[in-house]
Amino acid sequence: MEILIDNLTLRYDGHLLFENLSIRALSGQKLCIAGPSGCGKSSLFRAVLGFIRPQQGTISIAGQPMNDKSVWHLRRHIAYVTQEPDLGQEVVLDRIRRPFDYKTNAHLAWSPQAVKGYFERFKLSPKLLQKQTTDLSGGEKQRVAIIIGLLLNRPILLLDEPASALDKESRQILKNTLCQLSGKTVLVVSHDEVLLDNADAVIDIAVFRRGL
Amino acid sequence: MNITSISVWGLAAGYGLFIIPLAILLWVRVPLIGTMLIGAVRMTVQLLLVGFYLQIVFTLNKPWLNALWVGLMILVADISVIRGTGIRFGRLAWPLFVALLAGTAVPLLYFVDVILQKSNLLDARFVIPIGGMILGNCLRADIIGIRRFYQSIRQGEKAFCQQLADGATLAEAVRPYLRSALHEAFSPTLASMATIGLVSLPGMMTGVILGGSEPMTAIFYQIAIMIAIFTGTAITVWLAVELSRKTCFDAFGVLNRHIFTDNAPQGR
Repeated sequence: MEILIDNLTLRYDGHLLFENLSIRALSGQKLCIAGPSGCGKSSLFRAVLGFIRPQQGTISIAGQPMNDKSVWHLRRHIAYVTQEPDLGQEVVLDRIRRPFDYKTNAHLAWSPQAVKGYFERFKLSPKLLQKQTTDLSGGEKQRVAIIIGLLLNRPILLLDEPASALDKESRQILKNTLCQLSGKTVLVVSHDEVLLDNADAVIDIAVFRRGL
Repeated sequence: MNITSISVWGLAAGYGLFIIPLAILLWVRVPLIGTMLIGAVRMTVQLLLVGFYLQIVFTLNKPWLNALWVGLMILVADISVIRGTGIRFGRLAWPLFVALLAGTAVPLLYFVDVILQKSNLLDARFVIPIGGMILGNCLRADIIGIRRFYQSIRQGEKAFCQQLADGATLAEAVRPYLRSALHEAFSPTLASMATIGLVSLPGMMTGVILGGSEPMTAIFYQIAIMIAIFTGTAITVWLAVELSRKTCFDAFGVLNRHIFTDNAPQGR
């Protein structure tokens, strides 16, 4: 599924993050978004999900521009993993299962086997499923958030610094997992070389800052 | 009825009790003497004015005038709640007014009609004091509930947005916050229901006893009013949150940060 970001200008808290940014991610492409801290990489993802309104420009998913009417429908195409995920305060299994109770995801079948498979792949103990989310380490939270994103099985995956709290082995597992996602459009914000090397293209959004 | 009135001289003697807290404040050097004196003067003036007005309202006992008085109390409560929640007036005024109106009117009219079985539903002797008691508790619960609801979404914006990204509708995304807000808003009333009579004798019961009624009559009144208060708080907090959602969230389901009187960002 294609993402088209056209001539986007974004401010946050009164600060200009970037202007006239245009990115086209073709269906099945894996793009890495790069740039120094504070240049608006995370905010770009939040804009793609409709959590921040751009001052100028449009964001289209599969040819459909995002607006008041389409935003709820367009979000259904995107799985999003935030930087330092906030998993709330509940049992891990309940947190993983929660999106499957939403009406929007009624078409998705809840599969304990799929959860078990991902836990094995990401080297997480099944005992974690019964723990409180607040008791997880940063790396465990990040892997659980990635697993939730993968379980939603959406055509677009936005990953914001998904490897920041992962060890080398987990980063390699993540890279292999992303490589196996054929047909999915993946946008990753990362400084990790393993992920950068495997992207179809790296886009440095710092060049869209005013004066550069 | 066998009520012992307080004479003007008796009331004046009542002010003599102020000497004790005044002495404590002076002794411990707590800088609250001015506030205490202003509070005492305001209390006296406000209550005397209300007393004069209520005497007129009770004497006339016109249903429309009584309803107007309750409406005015709701309006004042509306403004007080908004000040207490830190949310801009324009965003909350109308939804909250409707919520307070429903939260007060439903248990109040049920109380007068079904429990007391009065033919005149807007009799000043019942509507004004009972309405005031229900409304006072709705006000307190609303401040707790609404502030908790919006501040917890504001502070946990990341987790809230994650739910939207995972596919939640706005109603689904706010549900955990609504649950937590209702829990916090109901807790004081539930705690007071659980300890009433053991820890304190509530105002209404005391009033009915002082009015010359049998203790059991006072107890029946108190049980009924506690149920009415809890019903009123449940209606008003739930309705206030549900109705204000339309003005406090944008079409994308994101909490509008401009609703807060202090609109500093709380998270990213």
